[in-house]
Amino acid sequence: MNPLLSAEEQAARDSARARALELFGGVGAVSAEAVAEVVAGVVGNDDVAATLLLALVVEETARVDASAGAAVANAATAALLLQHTGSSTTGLAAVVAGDSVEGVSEPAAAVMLADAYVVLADNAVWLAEAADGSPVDLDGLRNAAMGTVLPGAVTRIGGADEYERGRGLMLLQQAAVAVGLCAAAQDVALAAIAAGKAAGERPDRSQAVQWGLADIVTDGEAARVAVWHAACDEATDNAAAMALVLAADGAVASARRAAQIGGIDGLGADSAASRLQRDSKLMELLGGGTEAHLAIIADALLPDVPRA
Amino acid sequence: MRMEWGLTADQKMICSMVREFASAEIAPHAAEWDREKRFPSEMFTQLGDLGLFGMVVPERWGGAELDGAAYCLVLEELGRVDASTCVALSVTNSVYCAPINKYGTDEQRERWLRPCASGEWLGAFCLSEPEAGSDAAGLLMRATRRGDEYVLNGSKAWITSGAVCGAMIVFAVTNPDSDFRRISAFIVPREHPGVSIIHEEEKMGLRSSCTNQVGFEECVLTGEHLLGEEGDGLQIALDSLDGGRAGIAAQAVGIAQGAFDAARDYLQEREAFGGPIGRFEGLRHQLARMATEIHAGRLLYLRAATLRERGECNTRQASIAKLHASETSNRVAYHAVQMHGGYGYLTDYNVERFYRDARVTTIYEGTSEIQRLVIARATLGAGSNA
Repeated sequence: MNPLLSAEEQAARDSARARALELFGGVGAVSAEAVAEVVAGVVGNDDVAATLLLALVVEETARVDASAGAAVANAATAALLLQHTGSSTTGLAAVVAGDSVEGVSEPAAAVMLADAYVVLADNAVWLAEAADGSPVDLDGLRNAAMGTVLPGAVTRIGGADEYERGRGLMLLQQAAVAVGLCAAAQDVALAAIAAGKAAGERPDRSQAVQWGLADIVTDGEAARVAVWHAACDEATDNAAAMALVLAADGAVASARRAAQIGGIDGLGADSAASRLQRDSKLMELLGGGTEAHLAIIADALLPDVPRA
Repeated sequence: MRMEWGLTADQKMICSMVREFASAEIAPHAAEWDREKRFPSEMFTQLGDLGLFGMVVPERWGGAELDGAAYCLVLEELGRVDASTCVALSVTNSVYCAPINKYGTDEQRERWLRPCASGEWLGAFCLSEPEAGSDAAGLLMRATRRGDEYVLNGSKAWITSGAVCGAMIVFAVTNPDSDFRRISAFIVPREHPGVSIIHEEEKMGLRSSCTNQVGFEECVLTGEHLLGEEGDGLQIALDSLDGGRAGIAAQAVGIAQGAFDAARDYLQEREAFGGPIGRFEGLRHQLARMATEIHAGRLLYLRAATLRERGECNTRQASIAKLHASETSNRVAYHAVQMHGGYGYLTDYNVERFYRDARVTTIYEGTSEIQRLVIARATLGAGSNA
């Protein structure tokens, strides 16, 4: 057992953060070129290494900008699925999921940047190269190029196993985005504390502030180890769903705590604290919502007791 | 080496051995011991024979030389069936054997570590006092120097296994004028002249573990009892607690797992409204949340234990693991009782024992409030003490 990042993995994480700051440091539209550059650094490794590496990259990117993190997560997941199924397409691909390959997909990030779509539906994996995305305007991840897709003509590129793998990867990478949001909440809280100190106050000595910060750190770390574990566990549905429940809950709670530490002055309409709360709430709603993820976990815990 | 969460063959083997033993020999009696508030000495003889008193102690000193993660996994297995048994072993291993192994001389190891590690007797850790618990630096008990001797006078509170141990590590003030080196640590045999058991505590949970107030009156010690150097006491105490916290996190995960197992079984067996109650979404989702929090607690303690094993500072990680796992343990046990309905409130079912046993995990070896301060200060860096 080695539940610690190796030196190479830690270096990849550090480098991902530095690159994310360069590419996505200013809040604004996320470009397909920037996303493609990050994705290219992840694919090509073996499955487990790529899954963990992607989780590290996504967390650090989302920490800088959640929209960019979500877009990278989605496009890289599509690239990994294409690699895993031995398929390819030109340009940037995004992954979408839906009940039926003939219906409109659920909303997903990077859809409006993509040239092709990997579709998870009907217990199989499909490639849609001629479809177009339709933008979705949500009150969070506003720069993530969110959209839905009506796949149209598709090619089947994977069966049930690949479908399960794809669903697990999607949940896992969404969890990595949420862990990035937990880390961003910690950054916002620390910045607020530093600003208070610069103004001659000592918020760092307030127990209310210290306890709030400790809870942000603890929730973030719990979610982070669950993401890392799930990535090393080949992103099974169950492990990924657990990671996402922890991370989404942690992100929402951490955003609220960070806003509390920052106080009223830190909650301007487009402030980091305000954006964190909008972005983190989506983590509990995307990918089927927390209830769907809890259902996956419960089904594994109670295999002999069907849902009512 | 790439990140890898799978257990090694040795870790799997020790877990399997302890799980089998705990299920067969401890689980059937745990409720009875709890009801009778009886410390099961005969069980500890067997646990000692299994090599569980000195799990991380090197073989040359009579220990099993397990790694830190394996040690925590064993505590989880024991906590899953009986938290009282678990806590006595946790104290013996992490805050008695480990500090003597780390800070003791070979003579001290031979005399006070080997018998404990090889299963002859349990150890105890005497830090808290009636007026000083979380404020470890605020101890009042004195060890007065008289020539080459130290004389202990005072009392210690909340001492796990105080009345049933063979020896204890006792912290006392040797230099009241020093800010950072006020306290020293001493190894004191239980039968040493001047040591007495003042009383045994009546507790809400962990009722078959022994918790005592221990008195020291004109208890004369020599340099051979001094652990480390004079003035090293606070550092030894805090370092030992860092090691202990991952263990208590593992114990808390074990309690939570025991409560969870009972709840899951009950949801499958109990029928209402025409079928097993486990088919209802609300209960299924709650069970899923319980499993998820337990899973995270386990990963956190394994990470904290591994960091310490590698010789890295794990103060922050151990506090994160302890805070998360102990709060989870309480939540999970609460919901396990709730899922059992009225039966959960009866002593016929184990969940009420898990509920009572979980409660102390957010209190001992550093309260949740102290863990939050440790985590915050480690995150903020120096200069943030209130």
